[in-house]
Amino acid sequence: MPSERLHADDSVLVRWAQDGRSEAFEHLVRRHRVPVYRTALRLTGDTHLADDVAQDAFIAAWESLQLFRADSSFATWLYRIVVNRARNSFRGRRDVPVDDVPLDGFHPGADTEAMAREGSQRVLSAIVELPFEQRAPLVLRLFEELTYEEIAQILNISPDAVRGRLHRARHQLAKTLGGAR
Amino acid sequence: MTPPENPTSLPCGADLDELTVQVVERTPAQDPEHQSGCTHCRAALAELRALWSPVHALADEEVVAPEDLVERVLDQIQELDYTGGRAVIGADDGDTAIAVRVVAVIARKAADSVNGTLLAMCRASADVEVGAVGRSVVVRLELVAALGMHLPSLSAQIQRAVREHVAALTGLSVVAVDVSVVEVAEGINRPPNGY
Repeated sequence: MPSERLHADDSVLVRWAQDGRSEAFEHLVRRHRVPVYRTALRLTGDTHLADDVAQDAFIAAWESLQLFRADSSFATWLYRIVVNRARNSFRGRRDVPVDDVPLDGFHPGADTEAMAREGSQRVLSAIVELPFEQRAPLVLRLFEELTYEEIAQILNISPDAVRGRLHRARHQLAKTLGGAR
Repeated sequence: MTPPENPTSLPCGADLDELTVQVVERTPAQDPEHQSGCTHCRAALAELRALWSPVHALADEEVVAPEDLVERVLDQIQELDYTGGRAVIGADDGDTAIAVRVVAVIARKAADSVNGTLLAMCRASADVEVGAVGRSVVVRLELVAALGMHLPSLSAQIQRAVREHVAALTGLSVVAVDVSVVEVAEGINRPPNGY
């Protein structure tokens, strides 16, 4: 197993991976696994689904790595894939409310502690109930702390559109959370 | 006169949306002196912080990715690499596998051999999805061209050179050579290097 202390920039690792060196891609997966999984988890509200989305996102990244251009960071590009995968995971499938997820059925090592907390569940449920076009910028802003410009790039919309969607998401979420207080 | 049902500003004039963004995104106050002394702002901020504290608590929780996520990804990549990372020429007496990076090197050198190409950065991939038994290859090239070159002619020459060299040296079928001229620069046009 390669050392996690490898200090090579993402851009260098991407170049090596594009030349077919899967060990470079392994470093990228290890480096980005937490933000990728966390984003998937906050977007889906379901540990099993988030696990699938994260795995699919990394595989998709590997398959299309030759198409990656350095006009955005690798992280931004990866976020775009995760968001698209999470969006697709809801198509043709009934959304699983977070409250319906059995607490004893989580994947080992997953975010079980957080999910077990009532407050977290309530917030996650409220977030998952948001329309995806509002949910995605909210998750990227609040949980990944990305800038409006980065979110705009990931969602392929303007920064003003990001502001508008965030405004609507905050409004909707405040209504839900306020009603539960 | 009754106040509006959903006021967008406080009696002190502070914008409620701005206060909300400040609390939700945990950004610094735009007018800290005013906020610290204003009863309206302090009350609104306290209400907003109470409302959004569960969201902040969730944001502050540590998320741990499943332990075996990396291994599962790598296992799947290895499987893909077996078929997708190389082109395969099938024959009765055995298959010949050629890694796409080998194709990339050949294509890069072929492009470099064309007069007017200053720098070729090549990415190649075996077109396993549409190719016949994995022997089809798509090549994409990005290049810096010498200033003054007729770019469509240069692109056509590069496409021809790449097709010929890859086909001659590997036996693979080059189904497409996409050329992107990303920049032009002053440079000495070199004669073909006889590659």
